[in-house]
Amino acid sequence: MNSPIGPGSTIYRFLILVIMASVIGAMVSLLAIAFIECVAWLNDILLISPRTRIQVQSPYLLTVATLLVPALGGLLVGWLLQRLSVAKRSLGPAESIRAVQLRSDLPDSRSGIVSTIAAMVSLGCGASVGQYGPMVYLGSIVGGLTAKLNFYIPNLQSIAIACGVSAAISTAFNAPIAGLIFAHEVILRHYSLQAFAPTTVAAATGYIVANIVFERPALFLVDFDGVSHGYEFGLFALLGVACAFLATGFMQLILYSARLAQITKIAPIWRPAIAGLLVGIVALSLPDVLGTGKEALRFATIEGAFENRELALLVIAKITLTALCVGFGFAGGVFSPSLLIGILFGALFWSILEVMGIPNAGVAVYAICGMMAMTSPVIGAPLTTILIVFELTRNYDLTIAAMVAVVFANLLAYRVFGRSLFDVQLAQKGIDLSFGRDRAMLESVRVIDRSTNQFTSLSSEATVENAIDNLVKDGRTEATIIDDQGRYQGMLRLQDILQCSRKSLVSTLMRGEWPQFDENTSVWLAMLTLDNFIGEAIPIVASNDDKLLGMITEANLIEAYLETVHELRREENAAV
Amino acid sequence: MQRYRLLKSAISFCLCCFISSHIQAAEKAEIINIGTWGGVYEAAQKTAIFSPFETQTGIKLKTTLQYGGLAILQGSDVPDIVDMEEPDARLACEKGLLHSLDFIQLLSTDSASAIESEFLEDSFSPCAVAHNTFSTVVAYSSSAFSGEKPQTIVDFFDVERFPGMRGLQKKPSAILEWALLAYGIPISQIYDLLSTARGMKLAFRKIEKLRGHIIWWQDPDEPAALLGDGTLVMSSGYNGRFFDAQSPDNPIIILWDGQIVDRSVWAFPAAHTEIKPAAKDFIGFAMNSKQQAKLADIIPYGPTRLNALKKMGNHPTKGIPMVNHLPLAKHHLKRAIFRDTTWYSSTAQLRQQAFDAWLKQSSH
Repeated sequence: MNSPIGPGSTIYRFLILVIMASVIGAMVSLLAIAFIECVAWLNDILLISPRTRIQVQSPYLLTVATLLVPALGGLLVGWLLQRLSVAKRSLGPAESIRAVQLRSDLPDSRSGIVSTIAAMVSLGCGASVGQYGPMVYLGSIVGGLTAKLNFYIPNLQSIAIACGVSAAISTAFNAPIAGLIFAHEVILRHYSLQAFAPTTVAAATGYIVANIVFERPALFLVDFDGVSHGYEFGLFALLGVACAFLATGFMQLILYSARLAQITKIAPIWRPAIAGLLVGIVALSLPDVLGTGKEALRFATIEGAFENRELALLVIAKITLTALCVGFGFAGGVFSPSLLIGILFGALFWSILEVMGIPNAGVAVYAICGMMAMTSPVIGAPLTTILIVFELTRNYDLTIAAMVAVVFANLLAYRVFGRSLFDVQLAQKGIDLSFGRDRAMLESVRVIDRSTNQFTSLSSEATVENAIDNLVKDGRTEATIIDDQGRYQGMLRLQDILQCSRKSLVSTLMRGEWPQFDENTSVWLAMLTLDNFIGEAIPIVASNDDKLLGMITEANLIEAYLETVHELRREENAAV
Repeated sequence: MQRYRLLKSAISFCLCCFISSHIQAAEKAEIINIGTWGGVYEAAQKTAIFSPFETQTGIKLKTTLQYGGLAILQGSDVPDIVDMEEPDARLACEKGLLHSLDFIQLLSTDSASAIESEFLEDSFSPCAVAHNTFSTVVAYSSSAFSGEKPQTIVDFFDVERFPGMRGLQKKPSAILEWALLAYGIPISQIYDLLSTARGMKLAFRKIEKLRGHIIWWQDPDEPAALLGDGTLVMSSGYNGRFFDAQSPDNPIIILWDGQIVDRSVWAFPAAHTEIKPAAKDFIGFAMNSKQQAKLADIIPYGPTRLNALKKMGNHPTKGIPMVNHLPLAKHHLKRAIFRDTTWYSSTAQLRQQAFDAWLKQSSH
């Protein structure tokens, strides 16, 4: 397709996009590193990290810290979110997806920044939540703010947010390709060249900052010599299936926990503290549940580090506590808890194989498969998770094994639950992306915004004679009948009344089956109604008092539909 | 009368001579006792630092042998100065066994110079000043393995592929790091994982594989000697001592994989209420870049004073450039573990208990 813009504009757009992507990439990467460092520092001084816990000489102090730090942290998080944030809740990838998919604004920056600080406190105090969600949102904030500069480039907001997200993931995992794919797979959900190039630049910049400037170590390194037996691919698939159910249960529990928090009628400001206290109590006997559990993550790949009983207990504890922490309003994501739950479950799956005496390629590959098969359905990103394995382990055999587990997990969880936790959370707020972006977008455009006041209206007491006169004068064939209080009564069609007595009242001749919309009707729903409709316009009637708000013509409706769809197609196929 | 006066002057002159000679003798008789590690290391210190100091100042030095830990700081014959491992010094400092003083001020010749920047980062601590970097490594005797040679720390724990006795120091230090490293755990996570009960359990499970294949050494010169006479095939030890012992008759090869980099520090034991001025003079002398370079030319322990590196040359007898053999030489750093000294001193008791428990099991 030839570009409709001139060479000057092309160069301008290209330069601006590349510069913008590099700046966003560098900024997000620095902020993400600062975020990680802050959390690590808090973990150290608050006696959450094992490395400082072991150095505490007084067991009394350790017990008190374990019990109180998550609870007091929860109190602070509750206060931050309820008192300082406009949104009054933590924000995450779901908001980024929403803004990009519906081309709407992100929530206000203040809420975003408060949410990021709350996430830092949550993670710092050892709450069982993840760090990647907040980092993704941090990237989105930077992208969203940059896009406000408005460089006269179409689709800038989506691209800028995607750049921020890809840099965040690239930095967090030391995995630029995964960052780039995550931004496309989860946030953008299309692969236009216009967005692809800047997101790649941002991911690469993030990687350069993290690796070359700060020399941060790779998150995960595993030695693996290859799959020993062919049938093991079947086992990987089976593990994937098991992980799909586990992931579904985990996500359901998160949703249930949020409902439970509302049922219990505890004020939102106190909820995180209660979850924190429970984390503390469990941590007294099971310290691995504190924080993101990067030590447990590593141990899971070592044969015999855990007993089977410990693995099962940790999987259950981590699932329950994460659901509780997220549902009760701690700020944080579900990505890293999923990684941990999955890797422990993978290790458990392997030890069952051992018990059954099935020869296999060792614990590491099953642990990694479990980790990714659990995470992929939760974040709705099979390609990203496969690439994370590849980039972190640089091991082809391991990647193929993980790929098998991931696709089975994803396929099944998609059927049973939905595309991801984010998508289901959005659907609960009325934004259903499961039938594609077009539908979600069309569902977000309301017909009332396209309504017209140019129509023929008649009082219900008007006669046929009045009606014909008015319709002829206006050059229309349809009239809307309203009562003296402006309430909608029905529609009148010229051809229906031509044969009638001129004195008859129009109220007796109205069409019975005429569609009508209300102030919330979306273009999507309106288009479905159009299927069997023959006429010029459809009334929009207030749902509470039946007052006529306006009419939408068939032409306007189709125009609104085409505009939205074309706009999306243009974005998805844009080159620069 | 005249004669009497002359006699008086003569007597007083003699008296003066006598008294002043006594004072000089008393000054010359001052002896500073230094606690250090013996063997080739002490010999190198003698050549590079002790003898030049004695010649220059007239102050006599004597040494007391020690093998680490805090024992040297207590008892009857505590030295004036001790050459310690950094974690031990940190622990001793916390226990009040060392004098706390401003080493920066001690080393500053004039107040304007920023002496701290002339040293490796964190060389100064409240009770000690780091004077060299050394590393604990695994080395093997090339003649012990005719075919495949050990490559990594994993091979140290593999008694099937590399049969033979291993030498280890009888304390819960380097072996714990190596045990976890042998599981394939990345270096950046070693101390994080060792901090958990699970990590410690795993470490001892790995060490268990060596049960019955260990000879404990105490004197740091022993590992090289035992490799030389074929008693050991692999051993832990200090890089400098292995370097010194390397010869065609004793073909020791150092596995830099998993080297544990640590620092030696100078410290003043608190057993003496006052620090002798001569002891302070000694520290000033020993921390000079010239002396540090000279020591590193004899035994490859890296100077902490940065410009000493530029003054380094070749080994006096082997004739090879010594900078390439230092623990911090670039080609040695790829898989280096920098010992977390704070962690080490805070976990001393815990590690010792776990180690003793494991040793006890072996006696059953």
